[in-house]
Amino acid sequence: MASFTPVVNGASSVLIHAPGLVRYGSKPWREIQDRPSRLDELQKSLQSHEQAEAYLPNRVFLGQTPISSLYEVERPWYGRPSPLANDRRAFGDFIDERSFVGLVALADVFKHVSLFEGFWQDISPRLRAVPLFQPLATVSPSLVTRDRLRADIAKGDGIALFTGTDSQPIGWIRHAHHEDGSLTANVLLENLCVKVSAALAVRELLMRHPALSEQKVDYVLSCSEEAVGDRYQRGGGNLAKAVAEFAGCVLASGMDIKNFCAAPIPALVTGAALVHSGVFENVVVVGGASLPKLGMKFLYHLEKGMPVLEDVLAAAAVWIGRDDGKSPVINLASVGRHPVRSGAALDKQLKAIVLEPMERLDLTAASVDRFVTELHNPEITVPANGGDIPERNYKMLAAVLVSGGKMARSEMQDFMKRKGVPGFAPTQGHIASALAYLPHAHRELTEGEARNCFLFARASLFLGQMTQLSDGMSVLLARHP
Amino acid sequence: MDLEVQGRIKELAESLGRNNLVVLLGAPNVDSSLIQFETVTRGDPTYSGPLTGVELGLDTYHVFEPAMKAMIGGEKYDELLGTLELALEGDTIVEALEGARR
Amino acid sequence: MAGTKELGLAGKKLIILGERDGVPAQTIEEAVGDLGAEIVYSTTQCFV
Repeated sequence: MASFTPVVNGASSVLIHAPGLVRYGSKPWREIQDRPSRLDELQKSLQSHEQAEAYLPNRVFLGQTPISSLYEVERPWYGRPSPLANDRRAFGDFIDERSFVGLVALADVFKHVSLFEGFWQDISPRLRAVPLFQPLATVSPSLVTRDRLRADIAKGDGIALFTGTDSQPIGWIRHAHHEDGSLTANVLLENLCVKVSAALAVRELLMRHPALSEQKVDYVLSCSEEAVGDRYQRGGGNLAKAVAEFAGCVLASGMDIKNFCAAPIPALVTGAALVHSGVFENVVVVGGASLPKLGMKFLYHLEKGMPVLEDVLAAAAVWIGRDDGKSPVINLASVGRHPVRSGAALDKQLKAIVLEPMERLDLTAASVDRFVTELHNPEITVPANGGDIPERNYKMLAAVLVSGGKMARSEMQDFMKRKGVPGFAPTQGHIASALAYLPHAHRELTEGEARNCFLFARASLFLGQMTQLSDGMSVLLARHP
Repeated sequence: MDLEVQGRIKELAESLGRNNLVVLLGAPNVDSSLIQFETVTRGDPTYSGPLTGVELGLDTYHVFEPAMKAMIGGEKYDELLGTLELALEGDTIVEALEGARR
Repeated sequence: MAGTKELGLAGKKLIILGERDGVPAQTIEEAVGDLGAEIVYSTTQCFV
């Protein structure tokens, strides 16, 4: 079989401001069902589009501001607009909610979503004019009058769609099947949000990397957090192909890779292996956004008088192709896995997925420039008593590296600053898990000074109640030699 | 603490009796440890779950506490929990729980 | 520390509340599995 060196030819990311959808996040939905007055409290604490766009972690996420600014700017980061850095080109756009909801209706090929005709009149010129949206906006949605919309919503066979804090619904989505818990309006909306956000990330990738055309994409791997299926097969899958279709990659097929929040790493490794073996020439790994995680910590944020910061949907895409003489190499010999017998604890996990590959490759901490893992924005998690996730991971990693003889004890203190990445990603698990860093990694390993970065991610398998175990995987990206 | 988890604990306390139950915590920091300790002893401090206003008073220990360490035994403790205790600053958790019991 | 000197787990029924970023339930189970207690509920919470 042929052997090709797999490289990361490019990566993109998008953020979508989604204040009107926060009510359909898992936690807000449950809370509002239980106590309808919660909706009011939630809405009063949402950020405006401008505020969310200028929020420092969001600027960093999109590559508009350097990661180092997270150390330089004191918290709170919310409530003070962060300027765009002049020399920065973005990895993707900050997308408005109205356009996104319009695209959700267009992505719904079964016409479960209906939009108020006046809303569509307002947004369709923009959808047809903006280059990012244009290729996705070639069809028309199902439209209804205001009266019909009210009547449909009143029947209660679905859920109403809102944008921002406007109390007037602009559309609704009906249950696809009355006896199928896998096809309720909430589930459809969740899956459509993944489909559209993932397609937007793929479109950004295509736009920003002209060498990759729609026709060149052979295979799409989705590492999103969703379960597309029906009553006979929950999570039946292949959102990847739906994304490929919507994004116009007509020659591509695809499949989904599931592994809770860690899925992006096995997806990168699988994509690289497919390219390495010659099975496919160009693979796109894409992670769509997670609607259920919107507003996950909103009660804590309300209690502390903060804005509800989990108001953005996030997606990212990575192009894996054959060696082009300049792009960062995916080192398949570096892959670390987390065996069953290692147990679930973080130190054991890190030993298996970081220390063991380092030993195999004869690397010390000094020979790795960046260790990249869960980049959750601490401003979201700390007020919810969850602590600073990246900081905690780096503390544990430093301890593991010292005990494994890869680093001196004296280097533990400032380990995160020297070798880590501070948190900036929305709490959309898989996106925060190294995937959000891929566009940064590509930039650092081509235009920047970095020699390599070690990506790893962790999966909370126990949440699915089938095992008490966790999982994890790692892979090293290296500057082109 | 997750509402479902609170519900299960309440159920177990009712069916098995409070006296026989021991709760072991593995929380990673002081805040989280204290909230869980409070929830299963004096009631849900966030007033949102089934244990709101329910004083179960269950015997509750964090696995980093000396009594647990002694029971588990040095070698096994070091192998399973040593690095975790070090990196998570287990002594701050132990101290906080001692304070909470007073 | 009050109450801990007499602590013995033999014959007790255990509720294990592990945490992903702390000590997961599986690790606690491994640590106390041979102390003569019955594990009646064991869960790991994940806050991200």
